[in-house]
This record gives sequence, structure tokens and C-alpha cells, in this order.
Amino acid sequence: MGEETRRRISLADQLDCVPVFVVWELTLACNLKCLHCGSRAGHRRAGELSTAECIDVVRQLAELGTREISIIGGEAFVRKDWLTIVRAIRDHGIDCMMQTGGYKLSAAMIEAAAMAGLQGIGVSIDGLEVLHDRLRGVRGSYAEALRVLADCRRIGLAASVNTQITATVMPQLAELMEVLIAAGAKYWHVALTVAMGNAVDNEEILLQPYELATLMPLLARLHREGGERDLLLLPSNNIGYFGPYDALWRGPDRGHYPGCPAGQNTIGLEADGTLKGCPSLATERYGAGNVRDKPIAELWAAHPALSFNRDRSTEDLWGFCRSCYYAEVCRGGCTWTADALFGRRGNNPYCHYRVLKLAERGIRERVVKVEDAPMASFATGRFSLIEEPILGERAAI
Amino acid sequence: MSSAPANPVKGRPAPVLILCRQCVEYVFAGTEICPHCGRDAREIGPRYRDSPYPVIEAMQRIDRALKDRAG
Repeated sequence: MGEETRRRISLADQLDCVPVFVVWELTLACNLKCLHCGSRAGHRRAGELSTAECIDVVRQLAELGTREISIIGGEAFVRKDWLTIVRAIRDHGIDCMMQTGGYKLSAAMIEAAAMAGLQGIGVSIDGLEVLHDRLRGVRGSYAEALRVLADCRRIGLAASVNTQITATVMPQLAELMEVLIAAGAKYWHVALTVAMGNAVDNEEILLQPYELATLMPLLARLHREGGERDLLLLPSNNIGYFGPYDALWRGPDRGHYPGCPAGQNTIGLEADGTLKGCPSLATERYGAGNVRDKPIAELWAAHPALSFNRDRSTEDLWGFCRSCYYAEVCRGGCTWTADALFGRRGNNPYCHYRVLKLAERGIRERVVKVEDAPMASFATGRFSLIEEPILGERAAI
Repeated sequence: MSSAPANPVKGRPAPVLILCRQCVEYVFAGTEICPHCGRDAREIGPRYRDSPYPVIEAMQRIDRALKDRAG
């Protein structure tokens, strides 16, 4: 099976609910202090899985048909046995990637990871130097991220870049693209920063829903310009939905946004063995048991916190999403984005199609924090959704 | 690679959308009148014809068919 085919979610994968992709927080320990960190990473969790338990998790996932595991943290490489786990993943025939801030990830560690079978690294770069270092909470982290890209290139390990889109980075995206092209990056994954954990404490960094009217044409331009210069901009699960640009980056032949895959074709694992349908979902509402207590296959088959996407019901939809033309396909987009705002999935104001439809009626939406998030990992606050008239300039459509 | 086992869990696939041949917005497969532009979604218009999408769609369909055949 070719690399691209292994990554594609087939009709059979959807029907059989194969957990093709797993994102696994190996530890919550982290050497950065990001202002937008949803998991409030820093110190390791109490009771993180042992090496032997991790290897057994890999075995179970292989039996379920998992084809790719992306290791994250915290910072995955802070764990002393991370290369043992990478090797176990590869020995079970599963592809292995790592998402990292790159801070203190030395060239020797990258070489060792490649030798262990790691196939790619995604490095987080959230803006130009001053902004990145401020958002990541550590001076010098930007230079380190670029150094990791250069080391990967020299060693021959595939490297991509992940960028969190905050209100603050939007004006820098075009210049950032130039930096990434100069650094030799080939793939640029962009995702909206979601109102969870530290991002709730620092809500001024969150993009407002109506700002998608400006952001999406900008991303479309960067997608086109980057493509001409060998840098492919790829939208994450919370960039969308439909509207004028979905065909550009997802399509056109059945390449549209298919709805949130959490619990149908993806698994998230917390370092202490808590299983979720997506790594970013609030543990309080989406924790689906622990791999220490039951086999993963048993949790995957029966736990209601994993099955909510499988029948593709539109019953959970509310607000604008409930009566949207695309409701049956989109089903409110990214579960995490909506649930983190309102404590309830199924109504997602971060949608370009929705922004454009509301703009036709002279309306825009913004979110306002009404409740802080507790000091816990993957904790959510509460936001109100405000509808207001668009004054002055018409929104860019 | 491990082969996927018989899995008792069952899900439903996403409905299929295609591009309206007039306004190049997504519509449900089989749609006659496009809800976005109000025109015949099946009849190729200049906006679709002059876009890169007809060629890309054809290439993607061939690619998909070859991959499905290869398993």
C-alpha cells in the first residue's frame, strides 16, 4: 500500500470505523510555556503509562488497524523512552510522526529518531520571532524551531510546519510564508487556535469568527502562491467549511470537508492512558475510559464518548449549523472548536460559509468570554455568541 | 503492516458532494438546481469550464480508481 493510500480514509475505513489515525500525548511534560496551550502542558501527569504499557498500546492499535501514530506532548521527546516507543510503533508496521515545538531537540536526537524509524517531524512556528517567542513563552524558541527544520533537511527527515492562527499572527502570515520557503519546508499545516486551557486565560489572542472573512481569502492566496513555490498550505480540521475555497485545498473530487472524524477514524490518547475520539477534546466530557482498565478494542466498540460521530446524525446540531445546507456533511465542523466554546458540540461560528451567509444579511458574530477555564488539562471555559450588525465597511466576500 | 481485523463497530460514510458546474460551489451529488446560484448544477458553465477543476477532477477520479483497484 502506497504512502498516500495509507493516509487516505477509504469508504471501508468509514464503514468499519477503523481508527486510522492516532494522536498520542506521550507525556504532559513540556519545555515551553505556550499562551495558547489547550492541555496546559508543563509537568508530567500523575501515572503516565510505563514503557511496557505503551508497547502494549501499540500492539492493540495495530490489531485495530491503525496506520499512523503522531506522537505529541507536552513534548514527546522529554520522555526518556520515546525512541523505544517510536521503534515499537514502526515494528508494528504503523507510520510514526512527531509534532514538536523543537526547543532543545538536538541534531543528534533527530538522527537517533530517524534511525528508530520516525518518518517525519512537524515543527510549530506561530509567527515571526518576537511573536513566536512571546506565544511560546520561551525566548529563543523561534530560532530553535528554524534550526530543527534545517537539521531535518540536512539529515533527510521530512519536516513540515504547524502554525496556530491567532488574531496576532494574521498580519504576519505572508512574511512567515517567505521564512518557511527559505527554510525549505514543503508542507504548512494551519489551524485556528481554540478556546481551551491557556487560550481561555489569554482570550485576546483568539481570532473572532467574523475575521474569517479576512483570513480565508488570505489563506487562499498563500495556498496558491506557496503552491507555485513548492510549499503546500494544508488546512486542519477546524479550517473551513465549504464556501469559495474548500475545493482549492481539499477538492475537488470528493475532497470536500467530510465532517469531524473524531471517534470514527481517529483516536486521541492522553499520557495516563485516557482514551478520547480526538486528542484535543475536553477530557471531562469526552474521556472514554482508560487503557489500563479495559482493552482498547472494547472501549472503541462500546464507549458512548467515542461513538457520537459514527451514525452521522444531525440531532446534536443547533444554532446556525442546525439548518445549514451542509448540515448532513459537515455536522458542525470541528467538535473540539464548538465544544470548547459552548460546552456543547454542534454549533460552530468559525465557519467561512456561515460568515458569508450572515454577511449577506449584514450580520457578524463574535465570541465573548463569560467564564474562565479551570486550571486543569484540556479544561474549557464558557463563551457567549454575540450577533451584531456589520457597520462601516462591508465584509470582504 | 497489520491487517485490519473484522471490526464489530459500524459507521456511516459522509454524503458525497460535487461542484456545481455553474458557480463552482459544493452541492449534494444528484442536485439539479444549485441552491447557491439557482442555475442547472449539471450543465457546464464558463466559470467551471475555465477553472482548473475539470482537469483536476478527472485526474483525481482516475487516481482514486487505480488505488481502489490496487487495494
